[in-house]
Amino acid sequence: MTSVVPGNPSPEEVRPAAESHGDKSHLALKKVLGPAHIWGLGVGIVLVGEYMGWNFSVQKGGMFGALIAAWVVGVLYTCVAMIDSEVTSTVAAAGGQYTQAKHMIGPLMAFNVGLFLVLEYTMLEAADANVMSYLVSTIANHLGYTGDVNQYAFIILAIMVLAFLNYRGVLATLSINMVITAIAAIAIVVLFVSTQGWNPDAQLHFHGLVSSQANALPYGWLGVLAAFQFGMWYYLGIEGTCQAAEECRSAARSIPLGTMTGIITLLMAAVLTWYVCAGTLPWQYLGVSITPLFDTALVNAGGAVATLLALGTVFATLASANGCINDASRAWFSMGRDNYLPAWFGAIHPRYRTPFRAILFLVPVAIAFAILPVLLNKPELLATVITFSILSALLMYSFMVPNMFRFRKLWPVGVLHRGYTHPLHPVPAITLAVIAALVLFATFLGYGTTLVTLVIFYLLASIWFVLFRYKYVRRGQQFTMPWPRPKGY
Amino acid sequence: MIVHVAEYLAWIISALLAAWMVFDAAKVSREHPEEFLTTSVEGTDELLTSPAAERALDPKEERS
Amino acid sequence: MSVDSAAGGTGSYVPPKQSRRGQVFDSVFILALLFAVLFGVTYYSNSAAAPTTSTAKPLGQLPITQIERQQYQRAIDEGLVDLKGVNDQVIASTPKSGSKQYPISPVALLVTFAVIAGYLLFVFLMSFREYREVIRERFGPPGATPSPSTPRRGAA
Repeated sequence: MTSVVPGNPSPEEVRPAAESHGDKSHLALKKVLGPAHIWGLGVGIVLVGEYMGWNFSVQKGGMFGALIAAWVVGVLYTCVAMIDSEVTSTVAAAGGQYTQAKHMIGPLMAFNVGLFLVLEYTMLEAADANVMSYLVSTIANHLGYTGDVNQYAFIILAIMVLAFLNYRGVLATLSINMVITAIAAIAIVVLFVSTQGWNPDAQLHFHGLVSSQANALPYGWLGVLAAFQFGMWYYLGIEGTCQAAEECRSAARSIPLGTMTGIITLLMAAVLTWYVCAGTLPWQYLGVSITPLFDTALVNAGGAVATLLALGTVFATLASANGCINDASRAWFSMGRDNYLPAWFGAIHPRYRTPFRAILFLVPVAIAFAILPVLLNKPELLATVITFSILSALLMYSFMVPNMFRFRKLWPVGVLHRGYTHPLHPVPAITLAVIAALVLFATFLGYGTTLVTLVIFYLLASIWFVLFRYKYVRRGQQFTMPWPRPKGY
Repeated sequence: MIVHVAEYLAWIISALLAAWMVFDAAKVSREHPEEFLTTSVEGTDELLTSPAAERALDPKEERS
Repeated sequence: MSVDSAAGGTGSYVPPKQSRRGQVFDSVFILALLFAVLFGVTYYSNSAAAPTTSTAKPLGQLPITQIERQQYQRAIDEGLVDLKGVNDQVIASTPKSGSKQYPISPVALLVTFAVIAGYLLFVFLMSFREYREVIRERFGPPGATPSPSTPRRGAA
């Protein structure tokens, strides 16, 4: 397998791969990724949530609320990772959960899941770009600049550079992604070491937490439940590994390996993050901080460690936006390929072998999500965008439950060669259903109106699909997996 | 002021990248027939198919 | 495509080819719907402003623990927050009594539940109906012998 750096393609890559196959020529996404890329993609999208965002769960439920959220939501995502590993290592196609839905539940659900994916990632990308522009102005202020920094310039620059990278090829994009993700992950461990985390009395102070319940669980158990909503930030996006399935050298090996090591990394990063932050900052501050890990480094370690964490924050944000562009475009592309969306989007670039039209089309959409809150001076709009992203993910997790049951029922173990078969079958699916319902309730507590309107949006989109769009979709041919007839049909 | 220079640079780079991508996409669409660009088939991984399915699959199917 | 022949059987559905104008319209439509909902909900739900205070009490007088005072002092020293900010944060995070912190309206809960249930019901029922059609076209009518290109089951 030749590795190709954008701008420096080897001769055989310039020529469309298909030409060597006579008249049966078709383009395909490039199969170049290994488990480490999948790890980088999964962790990269998420890790920004450790650098910022998770701490709003402290505001909702106090320090212990945030910790319990990290555990419980961690279980939710462990189930997600287990289910995804099994299904995607068998359904190795771009589009991930969308393709799963098409093969297991049916077309309308596939359309919905495709939209969940695109909205989840595009809106997350917009939030990342916003944060990035905030970081630029913070850095400018630290360098002694007192005026206002033009936010639009840097939001657009970030999205453009990453879209360009994605356009030019998946291998370079995800290799860079893997490196910056690894640096951001190591930075958290360095912070733990520098605060002598193994010795809770050295620099960290937990007395304020354990001495009084009012301080640790200020809003009681309902507050803990409310904290689940932002506990999602610790892990949101790990399921994005599935989108790369069609570009893995061996999806059956890479997807389970990358996803499982990814969720393990995130579980460790989540508790490490909570631990150092909770031991350093007062909970009233932590709950509203924009860059909690960086603040912790600044207060506790300073100097080189603070610089490293600042770098980690920037890298984590970039990696997240990068992975989001990658995943959203794969989902959009797959839907175009099946005519769920206009067929024009189902095109692959003959030279870079990327879904270039999907990547390009989603750029202005992401910019609109990112810039409109600034342009209209409506910060609440950004909160709505972020909530839409979380909720789309949640709706997708609730789809994964029946999806898993049907996957095992329609094609029992043994009928298909699965790349990975997860243990304790009904337990992860049932656990996922219960916790996803709890998080939906938590979102109801905080963003009830947004929840209802988002569901109404998906309902309207579904009706539109049934009435006006499904007629363009091929019926039998969209079932592309070379599988036997599903049991019972 | 360095921040202003950075802002202008950001605008210019963004515009260049956007222009290049749009131009390249238009060029690709012009140079290749639409039928060729949209020929990709949902991926099959050689480890995943059942033996019966393997046999059923077109032997000329591209495997990379 | 490798599965072309798999549809094999009689009456496989041939979708119409969508015009370019139709393609543009569909792409714009789904986005327009999204943005309409996004703006609708943002302008409809007006968020309450966080309570602020005009007089900033010194750390010693705030209802926080001794450790928290030390931690806040270090945060102030590092320029992360000023005394007024600390006051705002402490006031904003003081628990409201009883069920005022997270009020639950039974009507709203019921409506939310009904909307989600209705949505899921519609999507699942419709999907299962369409799925049956997909399987029939891909594998032929139920019970029929599979066409030559259709993979046989139970192969593993």
